[in-house]
Amino acid sequence: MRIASIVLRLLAGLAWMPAAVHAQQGSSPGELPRASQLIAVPVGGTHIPLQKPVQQVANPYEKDPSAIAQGRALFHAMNCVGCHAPEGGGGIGPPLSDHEWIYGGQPAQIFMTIMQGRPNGMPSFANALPEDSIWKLAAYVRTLSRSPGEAVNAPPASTQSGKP
Amino acid sequence: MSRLHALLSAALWLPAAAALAQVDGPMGYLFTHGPAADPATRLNWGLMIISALVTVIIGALVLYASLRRRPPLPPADNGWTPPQPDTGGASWIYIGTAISAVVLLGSTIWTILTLSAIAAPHREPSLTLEVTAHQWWWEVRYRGSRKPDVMTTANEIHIPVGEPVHFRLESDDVIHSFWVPKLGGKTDVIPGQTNFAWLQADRPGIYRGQCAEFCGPQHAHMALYVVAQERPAFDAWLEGQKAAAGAPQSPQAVSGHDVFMSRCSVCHTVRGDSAGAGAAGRLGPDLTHLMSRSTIAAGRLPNNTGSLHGWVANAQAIKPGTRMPRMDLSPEDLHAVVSYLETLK
Repeated sequence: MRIASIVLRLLAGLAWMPAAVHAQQGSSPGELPRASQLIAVPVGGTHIPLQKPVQQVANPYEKDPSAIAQGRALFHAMNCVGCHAPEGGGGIGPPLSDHEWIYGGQPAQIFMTIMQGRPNGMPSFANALPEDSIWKLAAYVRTLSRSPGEAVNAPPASTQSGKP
Repeated sequence: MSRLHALLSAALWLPAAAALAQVDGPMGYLFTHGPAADPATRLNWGLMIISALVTVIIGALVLYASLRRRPPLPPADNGWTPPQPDTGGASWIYIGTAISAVVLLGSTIWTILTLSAIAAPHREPSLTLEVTAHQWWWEVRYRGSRKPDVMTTANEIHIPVGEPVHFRLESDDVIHSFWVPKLGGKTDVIPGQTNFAWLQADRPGIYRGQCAEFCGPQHAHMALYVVAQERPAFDAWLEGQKAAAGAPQSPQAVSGHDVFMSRCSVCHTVRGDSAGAGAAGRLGPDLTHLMSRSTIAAGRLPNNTGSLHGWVANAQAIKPGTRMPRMDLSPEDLHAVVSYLETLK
């Protein structure tokens, strides 16, 4: 029921979302991934074995420093720090600064985790944030596990299953 | 002498009186007030009295036997102690075994009769409530006859007096146990399984309940209250709880509503909120009529302005490990949110 409503929301959002983003940003972030791509993204990572390989869905903001900075601001404004701690050190919620991902560390998996919520305390932010902001947040979250020297623009360190 | 006597008797009776007072405290299960508990309470007292009598009687017999034992016979020529002649004492073993068997059999039958008496209410329950146990609070749903007619609240269960109430118990995370000692026994609440219990309060009052299965660091702070009311008062309460939350009026409450929508609505619900969409988070307790409840955080704090400020600001300091994170609100936002919460009557 809930997932169905999220999917519906995603589908409804498809029509106007990219246009709205263009209007707000003035800059072109590229197309946001489509709902049909996202609903196929399997949940799984280091702890829950993946049932099928994750189809690569690119985050349009993955290499955009200003979007990542906005994602960082959202990380604090939406009180992600309340559970995951500043810089994603972990607390009530799991750490985001390591290479372990309970529900998967691919951009689309992180997006869906924020969008839908996950068991044991992760709320759904589908009502609280537009998709565009969730992609920025996901881009920022992906930077947390990078080692300090690693450039923001560098490709993910590892391509092993379950790891970014 | 008489002063010493008075002191001695005080030393003996005061702790006993204190213990008896505790026995009828909020969690005292030796005095109960409903048919789901009373037969078990009678059995409890009966078995306690039988056990005490058995202990006293056996103790007295052992004492008698050790004081009145016969002197040993003089040693025989070879230096050995000759065996005691049989005086027929062995028959007491059969008598004692027979008495024990009768008492134990009687207790067994009484226990079976008690179990069958409390297994189900004598008439159809007038109300079925759905209780979901979470770490560390209780979610309670009242479902009406029509499908969308559902009201969700937390930690405070109102029931009509004199009517059996049915409970559907489910867990969201780990094993908990639903226990309102004055009204009934414990029923475990197990993830992935639906358990059932029933309670009936024979007199109006507030009955304290508690999670009775260790469920994590805040197990001790997982209380609930059952408020038994006369039928008209109960119906009025239920109607009030079904109503939507009113719109905030004062400027501070209005700005608190904005803060609530951006910071709290991801986890908390306020039904029929004036803002249209409304807060619809499902992780935390429904706050639509927060101020009608006497406590917050599952009995951890009394529900007042001070507690709300402390809890919203940093719940982790009050109930470490609770799922509610530290909020890091500015003082203005904190005051605003609390003044909004206080409109949720």
